[in-house]
Amino acid sequence: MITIETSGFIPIYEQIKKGIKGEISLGVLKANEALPSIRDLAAELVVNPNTVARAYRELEFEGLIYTRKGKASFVSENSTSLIQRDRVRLSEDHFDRAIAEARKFGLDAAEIRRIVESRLRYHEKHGEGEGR
Amino acid sequence: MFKRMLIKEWKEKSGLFVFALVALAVFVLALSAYSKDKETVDILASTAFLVFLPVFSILLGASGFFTEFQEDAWAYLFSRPVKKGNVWIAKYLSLLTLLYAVVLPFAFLARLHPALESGALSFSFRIVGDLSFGVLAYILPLLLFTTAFSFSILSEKVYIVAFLAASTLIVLQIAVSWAGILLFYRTWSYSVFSLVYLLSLLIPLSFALASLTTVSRADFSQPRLRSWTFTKRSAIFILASIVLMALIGFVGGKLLRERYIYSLRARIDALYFVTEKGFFKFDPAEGRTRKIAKSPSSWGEISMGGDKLAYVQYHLRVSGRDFAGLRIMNSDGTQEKPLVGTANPESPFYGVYFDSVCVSQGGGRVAFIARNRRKATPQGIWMIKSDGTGPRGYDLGIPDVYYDYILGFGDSDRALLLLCVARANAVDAQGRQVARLLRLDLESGKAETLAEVRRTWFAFVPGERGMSEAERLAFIQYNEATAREHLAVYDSETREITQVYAEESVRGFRWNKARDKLAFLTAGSRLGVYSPAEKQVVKMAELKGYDLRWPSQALEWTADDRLILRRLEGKTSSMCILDANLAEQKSIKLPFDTFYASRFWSTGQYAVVEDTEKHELWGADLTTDKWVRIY
Amino acid sequence: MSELLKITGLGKSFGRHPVFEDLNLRLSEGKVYGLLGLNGEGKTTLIRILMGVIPACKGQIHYKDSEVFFRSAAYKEDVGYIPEDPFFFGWMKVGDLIEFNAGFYPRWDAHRAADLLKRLSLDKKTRVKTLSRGMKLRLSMAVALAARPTLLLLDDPTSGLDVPTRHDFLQGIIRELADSGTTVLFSTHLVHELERIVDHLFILHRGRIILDEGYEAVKNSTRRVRLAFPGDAPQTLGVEGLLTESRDGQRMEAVVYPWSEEKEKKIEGLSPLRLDVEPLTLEDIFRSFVAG
Repeated sequence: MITIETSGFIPIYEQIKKGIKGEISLGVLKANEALPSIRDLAAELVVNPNTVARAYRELEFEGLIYTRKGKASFVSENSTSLIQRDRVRLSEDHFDRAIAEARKFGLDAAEIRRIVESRLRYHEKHGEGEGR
Repeated sequence: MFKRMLIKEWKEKSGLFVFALVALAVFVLALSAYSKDKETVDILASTAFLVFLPVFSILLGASGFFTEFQEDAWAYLFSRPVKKGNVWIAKYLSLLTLLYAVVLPFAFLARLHPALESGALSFSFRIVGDLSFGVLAYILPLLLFTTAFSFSILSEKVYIVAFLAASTLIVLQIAVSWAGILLFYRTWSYSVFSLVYLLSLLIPLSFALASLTTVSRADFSQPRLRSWTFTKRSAIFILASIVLMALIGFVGGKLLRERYIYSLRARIDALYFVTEKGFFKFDPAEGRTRKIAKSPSSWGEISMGGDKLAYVQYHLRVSGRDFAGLRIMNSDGTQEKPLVGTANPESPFYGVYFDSVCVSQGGGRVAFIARNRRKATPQGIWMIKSDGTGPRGYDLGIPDVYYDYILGFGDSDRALLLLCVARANAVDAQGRQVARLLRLDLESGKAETLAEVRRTWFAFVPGERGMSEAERLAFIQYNEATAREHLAVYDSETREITQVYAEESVRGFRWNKARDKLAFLTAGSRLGVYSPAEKQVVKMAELKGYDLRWPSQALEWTADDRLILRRLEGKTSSMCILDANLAEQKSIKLPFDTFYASRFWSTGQYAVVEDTEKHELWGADLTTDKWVRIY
Repeated sequence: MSELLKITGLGKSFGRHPVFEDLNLRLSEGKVYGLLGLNGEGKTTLIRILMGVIPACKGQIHYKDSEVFFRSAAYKEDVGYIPEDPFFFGWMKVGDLIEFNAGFYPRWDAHRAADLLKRLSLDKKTRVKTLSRGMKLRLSMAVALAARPTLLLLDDPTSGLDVPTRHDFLQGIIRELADSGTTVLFSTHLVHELERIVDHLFILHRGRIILDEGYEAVKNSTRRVRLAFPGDAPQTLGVEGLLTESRDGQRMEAVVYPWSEEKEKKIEGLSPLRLDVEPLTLEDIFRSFVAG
């Protein structure tokens, strides 16, 4: 389910994109499956149809969905792998930022490595999932 | 859109409509129940048409915008794709149909119900006056409804709106009617009232236009602005209506003043007459008519003496009373000024009417009778100098006087000759007025009875009244002792009365210009001429074929002592000139056809006749026998 | 996208009290416009003027490039109007009201009207005055949408109604948007709901439009800055576009629009101990704009 919150600062179309990507990677939306129409999704989320349209456009541009007959949109074949690749890239971004922050505090590479290891162990122990 | 508005309005006002139908049913039942009782029927009809329908019309109109005021429903209506002016019109027409759905049954009922005589409805209310039923039943509700509907945009408080509309309309109606009466007294034209009726229609129309344009242009959400805009526009439209009416009235000049010749004085050298346009003088030497003074707004007589002309003017004051004024001018129209006014409460002449105005032969004095019904002594005889000084009242010393007439000045302006009719036995067996000839000495104030007189009711013999030349007076004298009457002549110098003719009843007489010959017509259609110098009747003739219907008017002398009589053949009248032997010399056809026996006058070489239908004056030049239109 | 509505130099006063004096606005087709403003500052007045309910004192309004006047009626055939707490004619039944309106709009779709009534659970026979506010809103919507409008003017229609009703209402509007590309001018207090659907924002404050900008642009270029200074905070940050600014000893807080890198540098130039720059919710943005 895609949820939209407006008081956060992520643009709605971004949230929609993220939500759809999430559903694809979780397998809720399978390859070649039809996405809800812009109209229906907009009504369900109570957002401007233009916003949904924009999200769909960008997803199409990113190759994750395709539009047939000018109306219905479907999940692309290779969407899962695209997202996979995306996710790695995103995570790398996150890590880059974390490293930069740590460096600001004056930590060196060895200490950073230690922190990563210890946090990974901590999360494994407490049995949280792979995260969404 | 209109159909939907119609349905909406009918549904909204359905309660009112049902109420009206109930009233109609009650009316019908009551009429049937009381159909024999004329008085009750009258009351019922009055109530229906003078109370119920007007009130219903006003309330229906005043509730026009009521629902729109509920919680700003007007905003909803105005936000629809419809011109706001059209909303007003649609509403108006919808409610109008409802109005007539009530009015028409009432009206038809009034015509058809056996209890009410068809056509002639008589209402006991005096206000109605001579309003026709059509106006009352069909027009009045329309005017009331339109006004109330126009006002209904002002407020949702229906009763206040109704009251405001009704009272404004009444006030304006009164103002318009009153202005009409004022105008009537200025113009003496009944056409004025047509303009008044028209204006009465324009007033509700003005309110309607103001209301419509207020709705379509003003900010309805601001009550004060709405009211102010409506008031302003109403005033403008009403003003425009008044201006329009005034324009119609004055541009169509004829409309306002009907053509009329009020009074005429024929002298040897000129003819003076008064019309709705003013004072005119016809000069026979020139053969031309000239206007000498402006319109007097009077219908009184003019009287002349010497070179002075006196006349009575009427004017309406603000208070609604009309006042008469005696005025004087020179015979060429100059130096026109008031002589005696009646509007000053301090003056002894307050509120009087002038009668028997008479200018002395020299033109130096004016005598008149002042009548005031309200006073204890209803009339008084007065004399005033021509410059307005020295008014003097006279008391004849005769009790119980019914009516006086001043015949003229006599005895070189030293006396007044009057006819006095006493209250008792004012009319004799033949229907003639019983009177006495009196001589009033202007110096001493003493009155003496000269003779008993018989005269035809209100038919003044030409020369009998208002003439200054009363040196010799002719009259029908009545002999109490013998119970017989005869024609007599009074000489004011010698104070002698001479019997002229006693064989038959004399029905009319006329002095010639020089006052030395008296022509008279007898009951047996005989014409006689009397010479006071010779103290006998010098000529007598049988008349055949002449129009002698009004004998007192049938005779006239030309300036050169020939007699004029009239002949009527079918519709054609001719003026017949008789020679010195009373034989017909020539006959000139009148330039118009008329059945009426109008008088002749003569001035210079002209014989003048009035066309009483077209109100024109024609003069025949007796030397050329050609007609000239004097007026 | 073509220009649907253009307002130039609009002025309105009630008696001596001016509401706005020189208002300018443009609406392009197909967008959702939000009109924000404090209560009583003229939002309803503006919409009423647009609907020809009351006249403006001056200025022009152009609909699709032709000028419309107070007396004009034709353009309103294209416009749907849903006012706050609408009053119809209470005595009418729902069916009557539908019938009544049908006569005014040439593009009236009777099927749609019936459809909408059914979907919104409105019974033709109910008397309007017995309807709850929520139902009246639904009825307004049915009437407005059945006329297939090109432009929808919503004047705070949902204030005072509960969340599910508002939710349903917004959904209805969204479906209309998606189906017909209707242009919407939405005047409301409920800023956070507006955020979800608005394309372009107007803020009406003290008789003027003080913000006329795309929603994203506004969101992206309004920032709240929080600063802490070593000593007493300076009198002012000295940058343009300070919507609000407050000092408390060593701390300082301000909302800046439009934000830029230069401004950030300038503020850094004041040598604060701490400088936090954060985006704001639309609600806070609005409050900042009308604070001054």
